[in-house]
Amino acid sequence: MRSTHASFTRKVEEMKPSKSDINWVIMDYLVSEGYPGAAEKFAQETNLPGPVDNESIRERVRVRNAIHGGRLDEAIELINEIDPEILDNNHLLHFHLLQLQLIEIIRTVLAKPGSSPAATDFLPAIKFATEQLSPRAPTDPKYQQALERTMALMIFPPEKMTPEFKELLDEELRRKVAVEVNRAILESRGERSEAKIRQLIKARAWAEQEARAAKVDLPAYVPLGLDAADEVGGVDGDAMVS
Amino acid sequence: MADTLGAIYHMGSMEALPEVELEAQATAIRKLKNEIVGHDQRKERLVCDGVVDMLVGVLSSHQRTTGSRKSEANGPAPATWSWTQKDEVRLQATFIVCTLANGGAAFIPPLLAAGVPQVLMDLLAQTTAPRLRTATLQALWNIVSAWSALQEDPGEAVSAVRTDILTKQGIEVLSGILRSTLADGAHNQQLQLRLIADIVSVSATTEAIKVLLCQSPILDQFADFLAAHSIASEHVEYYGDTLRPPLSTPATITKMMSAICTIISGSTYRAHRFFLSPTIRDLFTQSWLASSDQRHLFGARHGFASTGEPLLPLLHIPAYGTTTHHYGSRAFPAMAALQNQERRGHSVFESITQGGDVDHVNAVCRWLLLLARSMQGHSRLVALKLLALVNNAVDADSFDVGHRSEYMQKNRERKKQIALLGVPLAAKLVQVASEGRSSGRDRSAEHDDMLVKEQACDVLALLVRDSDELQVAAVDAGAIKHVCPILKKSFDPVPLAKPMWSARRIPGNADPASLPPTRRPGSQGLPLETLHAMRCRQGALQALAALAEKEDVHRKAIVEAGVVPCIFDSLKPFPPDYSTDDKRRGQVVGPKDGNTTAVLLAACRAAKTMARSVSLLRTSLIDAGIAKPIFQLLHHADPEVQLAATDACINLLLEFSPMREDLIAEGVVKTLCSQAKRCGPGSANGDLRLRVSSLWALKHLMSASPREIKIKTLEELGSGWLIGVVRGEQQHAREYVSAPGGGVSVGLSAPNAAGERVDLLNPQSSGMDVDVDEADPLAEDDDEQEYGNDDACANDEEGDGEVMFDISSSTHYQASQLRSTLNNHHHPPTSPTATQVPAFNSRRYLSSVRAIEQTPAVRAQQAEVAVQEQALDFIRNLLNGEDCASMFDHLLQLIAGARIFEVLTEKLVPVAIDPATGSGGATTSTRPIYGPSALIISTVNILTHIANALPRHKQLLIAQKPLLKAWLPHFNHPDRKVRVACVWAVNSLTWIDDESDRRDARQRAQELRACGIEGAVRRLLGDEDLDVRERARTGVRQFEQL
Repeated sequence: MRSTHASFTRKVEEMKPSKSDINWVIMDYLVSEGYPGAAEKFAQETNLPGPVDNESIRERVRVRNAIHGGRLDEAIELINEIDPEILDNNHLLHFHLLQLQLIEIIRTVLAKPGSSPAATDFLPAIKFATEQLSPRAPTDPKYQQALERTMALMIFPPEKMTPEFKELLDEELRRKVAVEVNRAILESRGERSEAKIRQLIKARAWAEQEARAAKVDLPAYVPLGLDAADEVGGVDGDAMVS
Repeated sequence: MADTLGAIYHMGSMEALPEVELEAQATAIRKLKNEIVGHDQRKERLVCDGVVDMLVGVLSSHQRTTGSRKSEANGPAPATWSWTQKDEVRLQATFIVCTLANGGAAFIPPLLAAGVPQVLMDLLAQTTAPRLRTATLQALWNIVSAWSALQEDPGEAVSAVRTDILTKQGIEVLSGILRSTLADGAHNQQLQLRLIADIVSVSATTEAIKVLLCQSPILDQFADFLAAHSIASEHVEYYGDTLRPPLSTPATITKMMSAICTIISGSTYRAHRFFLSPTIRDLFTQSWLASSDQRHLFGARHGFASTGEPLLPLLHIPAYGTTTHHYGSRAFPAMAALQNQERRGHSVFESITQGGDVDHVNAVCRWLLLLARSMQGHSRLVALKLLALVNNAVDADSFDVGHRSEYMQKNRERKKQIALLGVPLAAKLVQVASEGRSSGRDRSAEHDDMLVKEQACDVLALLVRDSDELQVAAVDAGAIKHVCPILKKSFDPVPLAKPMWSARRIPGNADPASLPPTRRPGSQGLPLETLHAMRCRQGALQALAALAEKEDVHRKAIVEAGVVPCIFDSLKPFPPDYSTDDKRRGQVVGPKDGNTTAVLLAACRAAKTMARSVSLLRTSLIDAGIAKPIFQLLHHADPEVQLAATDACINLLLEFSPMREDLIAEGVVKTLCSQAKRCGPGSANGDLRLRVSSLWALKHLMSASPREIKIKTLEELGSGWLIGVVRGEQQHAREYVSAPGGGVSVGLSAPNAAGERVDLLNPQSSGMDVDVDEADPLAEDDDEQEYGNDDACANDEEGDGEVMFDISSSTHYQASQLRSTLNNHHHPPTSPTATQVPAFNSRRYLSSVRAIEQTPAVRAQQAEVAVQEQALDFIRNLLNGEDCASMFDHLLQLIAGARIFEVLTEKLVPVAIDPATGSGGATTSTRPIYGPSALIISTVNILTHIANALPRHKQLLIAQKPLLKAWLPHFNHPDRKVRVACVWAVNSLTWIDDESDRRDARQRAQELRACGIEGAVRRLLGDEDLDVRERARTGVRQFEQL
């Protein structure tokens, strides 16, 4: 076991990925995940050509910030400015954004100081739901269910909510939708909808699984080298960025 | 919300007023856009409020201004282009068009009524700003794609609605953009390229548009991209300097390939035009540093080893038929020595075999195989489709290349490679489609899967069509196993999504007709779910039709898979009152609802090929009751469906078909007769396909039918009409042309079994000068006529000849193969021993391919010959059988005997020589020129039947001196089938019916001897064909017994 482990480590060490390849992967990550400033600095430091189209990255950043900030109407308008095809064709994504917007409306009502909100306080939310969300609701059960759950937020007081409803008020949902939106924008440009590094990690996981299934001699645990917690074998965790 | 909508709209509509600030206008339109994106109901309301007129107003009011800007942009620094509010207004307005068109088919009628596509095209011609250009292309594409869904709508008379995007000017604009994207590096150029390719592949639906596209540089431009892609991906090493690869992403390449497929489909010439395009020629001739032709390295044995390593699996395809083979058995080569060989020289076809450049064709096919193998999913499918189109076009053109063994071997290699490397890929994709495996979860992967499902079967069908070798390869790869479930699945009930909900009741416009057309949304068309099922069904039926084309084993396997009832169900059209309204939403579309026209056509084809099996006719097909729906389709409104149904009828009317009686009871005789007579002499260049098919079906009906049916049919057709058709009175296409070469020259004839001794159709003498093209390779503008597209059908029909039996000769033969080869005036006949091939001139070759395919005179003549052949065979079958004598008497009553023989003589005498023949200068033939061999065979067979009637009929025939004189030369016909038929007729004539006939028979023999026919028969004792020799032996014996 020890010998195979050693030979594996030796093989790993023999593999010398080119630095420029690694830099390229990092650059790709910064561009597709939307970090224009970092990308520019990184380009300067590594002598890589800067991101081709900085403006398009910034566009995506603005959309992301709007979603993270709960300004959904702004986000929708920005997306429509980039390419109205995105939301016009991807009904599910459009619905998610509108749902998020409805949640934000409800959130402001719930957040109002004072006792439990009066029924009339929810009128704007109901109006919004009627006009924006309900036309599509009957066309597919998943729309209907999502709408019903969101509407239920108006019924339960926040402290009595079950986790599935709390989830809707969680800001994590915004981040999830923002990722979806980022992907859709990239896709609409005919670009890869995912950073290369994500694909590499998936490919690595798949390869490890296949190798173990085929009973190839591998150490019991092969660290990925991304998380500090992974540092078991003492492999240089900073290899990626050194 | 509705109020704001109205307010915005009014703001927008006031744009004509100059004092309204552009910025405010832009803001207003942007707001409008944000209102409707993703909300289909609002779009509809907006259209009713007249938004389309407003958009046209906004877009065209800026034309002038942008027009002047263009000249600025052509100045020194286009980079300093500044984005103005006017551009912004236009952009936002264009976005609204995009969004409206996304709403589906319902929005197309108002957009087209307002002329939006033309306005957009005009703007496209004037703009250079990348963003605007992309948005405009996107809007055009959205319109085209919704429009194409509308084309499949049943019933609606929308198919007449055209988008008018691909006009001559429109194509120029698109081509200009393709050219400029090569230069500028705008980030969305890939998107623009994709959109252009998409627009072309979806909206080039008519032959006229395809011809226009083929004439424009656009086809070559697409080919350039494809070639550049191959160089970039190192499929080919390229040392030339003409190709500067404009890089494009794989997705773009796929779209371009599919645009090429659309342009070249339906025409052999256009396919040749693609693979002989300069860059593709270049790709395979400039890939060596050495100056010699190294293209053999692309061969099967070397596996496309242009870059050093083989990129395709190596295949060793044994040489085959290395010696020129003759008729008779190849197993007994010694026999050939006994045969008289010098009778007909080989110079004729030696001189014409330089037609195609087989090395180039093979290299292109291998390259497409390589592309297909390097791609996945839908891209792979498109590459295979391109391969299929190229291969079919080469096949359609290659039988004129004679017997040259090297050539045959190379053709075989190509076939084999496609069978081993191409067909399994297509079958695999069909399997993927059938198993519904998904290639990924994101939206583009889902879309890809859907396209594969819809098209995989279709591509497989295209790939294996007309080739039994490829069909076997497909079945070996499990094609039937995977196609059948797709067909079955397409009949699963499709639950349709429920309609959208609205808080208000949708304002039912009291009278929609009162609204102007630009404010009136149309029908939404078939739901997408149904369309998808229809496309899958259509593809599966096409695949079955192709697989069942030749092999009975395949037909049986298809029956065993239990899909015959599905074919039956696919023959049912949508009822005329089928509504596609919203009220169907939320319901379930059942299998019995009906089928689109495309499905009907495919189902007819499947029924046709399945019915080629005698045993299936008697079992599963009759059990499925296939005759009734086909009969009903004979009355379908669409002429294409009528034609397909008639083709399907042909085999159902054979004498051993149990469905014959049912069809007669339904009144098929009347229907077919009226169809045959329908296209009158008025339609000069008219479509004779329906007449050919109808006569064909009637011909089958005549064989072994009861006397009453025969008489009734003849009555229905009218004997005068029939004789008129046989004589070709509608047509004065009597300009059959000369063939320099030995023996009897025949105008439009087919190669015989081994492809030897091809007779020429010389395009030059049929009144057109091919040389015209030499000066200008693209001088295609001179023929902008819309050519009907019937070569595909002509190909289909050929197969049906296989079930024509005749009592006198059990030969099975097919419709005359009318494609013939090129003029050889440019290649003076070389000696048969010369092996040197003159340099291939692709330009000249292309123009001859085009001449054969598109010259109206040639096409009209081909159609006419097909009609005459069927009419003659109709008479022949009429006379066939027990009641031969009485039927001939009947015919004599209707038509004077003299006239009958006059007509038959007419078919045998040489046709007049056009004095213009000499224009080519090479050969002014003094030899007589005869009609196509198909007609001669049919005529001689009629003679056989007359000779088989009563002795007095024999006497009548022998008394026709001019006829006998005209007949004599055909004993020496290059086509063995003619010679056999001739001897059969003589044998019948010299047959002694009974003792009382002996004296007459002797007299007949004397007559035959006197006019030289006996001598001709004796000469055939040394014929190279065994069948001819044996018949001649019988004939000589009979002469001697008398």
